[in-house]
Amino acid sequence: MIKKISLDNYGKFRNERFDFGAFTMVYGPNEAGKTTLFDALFEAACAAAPKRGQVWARLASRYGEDRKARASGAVPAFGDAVEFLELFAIRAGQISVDAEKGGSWAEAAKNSLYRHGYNPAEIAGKLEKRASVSNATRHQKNLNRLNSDLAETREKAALLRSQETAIAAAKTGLAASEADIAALENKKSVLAAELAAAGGRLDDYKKIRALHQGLRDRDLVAGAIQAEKKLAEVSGCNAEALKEYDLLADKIAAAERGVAEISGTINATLDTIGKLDGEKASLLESQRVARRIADAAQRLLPELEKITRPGQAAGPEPRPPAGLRYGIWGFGAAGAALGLYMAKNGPLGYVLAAFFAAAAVALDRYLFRAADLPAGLAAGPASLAAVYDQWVNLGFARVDIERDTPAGVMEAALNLKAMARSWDIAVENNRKDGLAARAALKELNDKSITLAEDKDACAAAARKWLAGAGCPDRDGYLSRANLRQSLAGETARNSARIKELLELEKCSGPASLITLLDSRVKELEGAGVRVRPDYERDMATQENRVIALSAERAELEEELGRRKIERENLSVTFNKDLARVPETLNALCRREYDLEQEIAADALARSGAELAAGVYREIEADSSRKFEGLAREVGILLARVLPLSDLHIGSLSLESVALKDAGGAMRALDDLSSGTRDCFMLAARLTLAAAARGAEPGLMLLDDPFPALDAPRRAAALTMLRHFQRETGWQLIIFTKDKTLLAEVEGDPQVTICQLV
Amino acid sequence: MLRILHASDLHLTSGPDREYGLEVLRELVCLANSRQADFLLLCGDLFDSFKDLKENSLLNSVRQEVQLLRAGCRALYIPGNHEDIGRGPKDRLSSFDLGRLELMTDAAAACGGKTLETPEAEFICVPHSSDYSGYRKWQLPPKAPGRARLLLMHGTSSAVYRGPDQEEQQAGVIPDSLFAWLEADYAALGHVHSARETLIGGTLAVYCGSARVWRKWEDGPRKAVFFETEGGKIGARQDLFIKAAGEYRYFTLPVNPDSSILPTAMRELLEKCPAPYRDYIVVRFSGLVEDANALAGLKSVVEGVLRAKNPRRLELLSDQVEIFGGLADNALAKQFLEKLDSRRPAEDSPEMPRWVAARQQGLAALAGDLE
Repeated sequence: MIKKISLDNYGKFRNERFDFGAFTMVYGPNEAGKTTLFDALFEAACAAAPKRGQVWARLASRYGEDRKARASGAVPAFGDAVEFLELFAIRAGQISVDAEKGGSWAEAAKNSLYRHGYNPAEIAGKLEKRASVSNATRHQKNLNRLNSDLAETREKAALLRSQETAIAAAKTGLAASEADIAALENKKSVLAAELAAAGGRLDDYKKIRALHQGLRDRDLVAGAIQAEKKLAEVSGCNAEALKEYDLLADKIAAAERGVAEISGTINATLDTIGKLDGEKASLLESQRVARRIADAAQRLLPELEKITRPGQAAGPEPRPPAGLRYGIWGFGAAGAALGLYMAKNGPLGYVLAAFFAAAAVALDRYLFRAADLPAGLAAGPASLAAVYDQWVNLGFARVDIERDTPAGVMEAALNLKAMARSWDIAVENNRKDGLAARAALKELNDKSITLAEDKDACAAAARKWLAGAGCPDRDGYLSRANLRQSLAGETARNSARIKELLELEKCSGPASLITLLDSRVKELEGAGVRVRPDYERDMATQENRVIALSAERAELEEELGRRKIERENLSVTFNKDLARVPETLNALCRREYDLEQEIAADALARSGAELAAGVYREIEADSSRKFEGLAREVGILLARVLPLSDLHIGSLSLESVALKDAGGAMRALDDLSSGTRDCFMLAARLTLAAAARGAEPGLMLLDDPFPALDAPRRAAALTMLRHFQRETGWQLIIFTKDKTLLAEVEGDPQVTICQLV
Repeated sequence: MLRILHASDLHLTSGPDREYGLEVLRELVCLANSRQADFLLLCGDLFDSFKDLKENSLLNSVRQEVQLLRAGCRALYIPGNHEDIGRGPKDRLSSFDLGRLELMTDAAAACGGKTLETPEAEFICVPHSSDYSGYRKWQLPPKAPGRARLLLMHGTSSAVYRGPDQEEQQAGVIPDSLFAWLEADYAALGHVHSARETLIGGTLAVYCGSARVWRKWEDGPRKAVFFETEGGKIGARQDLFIKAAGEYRYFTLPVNPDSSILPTAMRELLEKCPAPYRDYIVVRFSGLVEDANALAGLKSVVEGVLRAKNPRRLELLSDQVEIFGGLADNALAKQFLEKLDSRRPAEDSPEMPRWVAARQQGLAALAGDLE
């Protein structure tokens, strides 16, 4: 209880002191300082309040900063200046609770009493809004956006995952491609090895070829040098010059031929001579026989003539003239001579000579042989036998003369006689022929000797010619001529290659070239290269193999290149499309996770808000229940001062309070008289204040509280206040300018009166 | 049959966590030995940086630890993105003596790693790369029938893990189609520190998670994955937890406007950290408080209590606390908190985040700055 308050420089009070009791009435006319004292008491009560609102500023502006109000006694402390003014101070005309925040007084009272200046319902509302799933709320909009982001993110991630799956599915193709490439690479390396080996072998062959070439070139150059020497040796021999020799040789041959021909004729002539000599003996024999026969026939003739015709003697047959015979012989000799002459030019001459000789002999024989035969013997038949006998006696055969008739026999005998003659001719002819033949032979021998001499002369000339050429014979010369020609040809043929070699090897001449080639050959041989007879064939085979392998490799490389491009394309497709997939997917997963976390956090916040809202709603319900309990207390308090019946107080709000008026009608508080309403409000204010303060000592300042009350109601109100003071022990300080009110308490020892002047 | 232990991301360092990392490695070696493992796969980030690798005493210790592996067990190691940190252009992992650790490739090598073939399995070991998109060109032997193909890689696979990169350093992204392309049966992956696995086509892609707690938010027990292969098939996996790694533990501590905390929340926190000396503890304060100084006081008190338990690392975060003057005396706020606290769920209840959110939202709405 505030027992005393000292005011220094407080409004109109410079240094004043006022005393108070439990129930104090401060009386003073207008401008006496009642409000100033009211404010000073208020300031003293709320001096320690943490919440002062605008009230303190108002005090400062009204009374200045240097004001001082010191209260003594057990000053009750209030924590909230505004609340104090609302609950513990009643101003004139403001008996109803002044709801500064615009609410109804009851609501403000409730806030002050049970919500401590807050509105749990309002807070619950805010929290419920936070927990609301309505699309109108900011949170829900944000949540919707998050959910939409999440769905989008999940969709993107699913798409990327399917792409990833596609990679795995495409693995087979790529793996096959890789395997193909690996196989091809392997094949290529095998092929390369084969090719290298083949190339190596080919190189070996090339070395062999180089060796061969070197040897060949070396031999060529050596041969050329040799040929040059030989050529110098045989340079005089040539085929043209040989014609000279050949002419001599021809002459020799012609002479030899002539000699041969003549020799043939000589032989023929010798044959003829031999034949004639042979015939001569036979002819001589035949002549002798024929002469014997003819002699014998001669002996018969007289006999025969006797037999046939006595007197008639058998004469000899007519004969061709002998001059013809000499002509034939001359002709034959002439022909043979001609033939021999011709034989100088060919063998035909010998034939001709032989022919003419033979023809003369044959013709002579033909024409003249019969005439040579001895004439036959004729004998008459009578004496024929004698003739025959005589004939036989002569030593001849009967048959030779035996005929049918004596004439015949006579003829036969004559013939036989004539035959001897023909043999004579034949012998003569033979002798002549022999002479002619011997003459021809001599001639022929002479000719042969001439020819032999010619031949010897020519042969000597030929030998001399050959000796001049330095050759043993023609073949020697010819071979040398041929050698020269072939050497010349060879030199001509080789000169191009040698020239080429000289230029190639930059050698001044064949000698240095051969040295170079020789050293090269030795070098190759030193490196183990050996001449191989069949190297060209093998090398060609090897070359073909290298070419085939190269072609195969090229083909393989082409194939490999194609495969690699194929694989590269495949990889590029993969890489281009999918290289960043894992990172993107990871980022999306993180985003998804973050969104889920955010959504979960929102859900948690929403759920928490819901729970908190429930708690606040509970607090709100509790306070409402308590507030309703107060209504009953107001009724009890009011019933003490007002003779009202059927007081009905539903809750502490003007709308729900109804009283029965004097006329017995139930009327709402607003419709009752202002006095009745003020009494109700006073009771309500006292109840609320008591409830608000609880067990703590209270203070209530009432500034001219009953302006609208009539005297009885004012007295009743005063009674209610005094009852309240007694029951609660609160300090009540009433400020009034109403003397009648002062009069009502004057003399009451329990009322402290403070008069302001 | 092969017994394989798959581990990753030890981030061994010569810094303050040196002994901790070595203890984790030791336990890993013990696990491999106790399971008679034939292979211990270390899928990258074995060292926290190249600088740590170059640190001789650390490398010596690592060699000593790995030396304790049973005779029949081979330790295959691929470098991760962390081995690239601080690596000079001429630095090569292969120039270091790694003892029984078999470096399956050099970090300086180009894409495509080493392939190890055994009668029962073939290991395709791929060093870390910032770009794995060239995997289609990797020359790999054809997969042998009846032989399991195991892929060792280090990187991010969005098919398995799509959250934020738990490391500061970004690693290469592994394309989803890589697994099918390489025909792997089991992809032993490193880089993501939280364990998880997914079947991608015919490949079981497994992040075994980091073997140690390297950073905040790596919650759950640390582990290595143990499995057997038989006839080219991958058998059932078994998680072998690494006790020496401790755990990352995160708590939300609701703060009252007067910077007090609920005694139940604090009690629960202490109950959850019975022996936190290997743990990495992060406590996040949440709520609206009247006074920043009072909040600082609260932090120092909580820190004092927790430090007394000697955790490996401790962080107190107050980024979710808002300062709102006048709130402490606000009767409605008190009333609200009183009512809400009466509904507080257990710390590990799924309702807890909602409750924390309601507390924050309710006070914020009261303070008039509801989000």
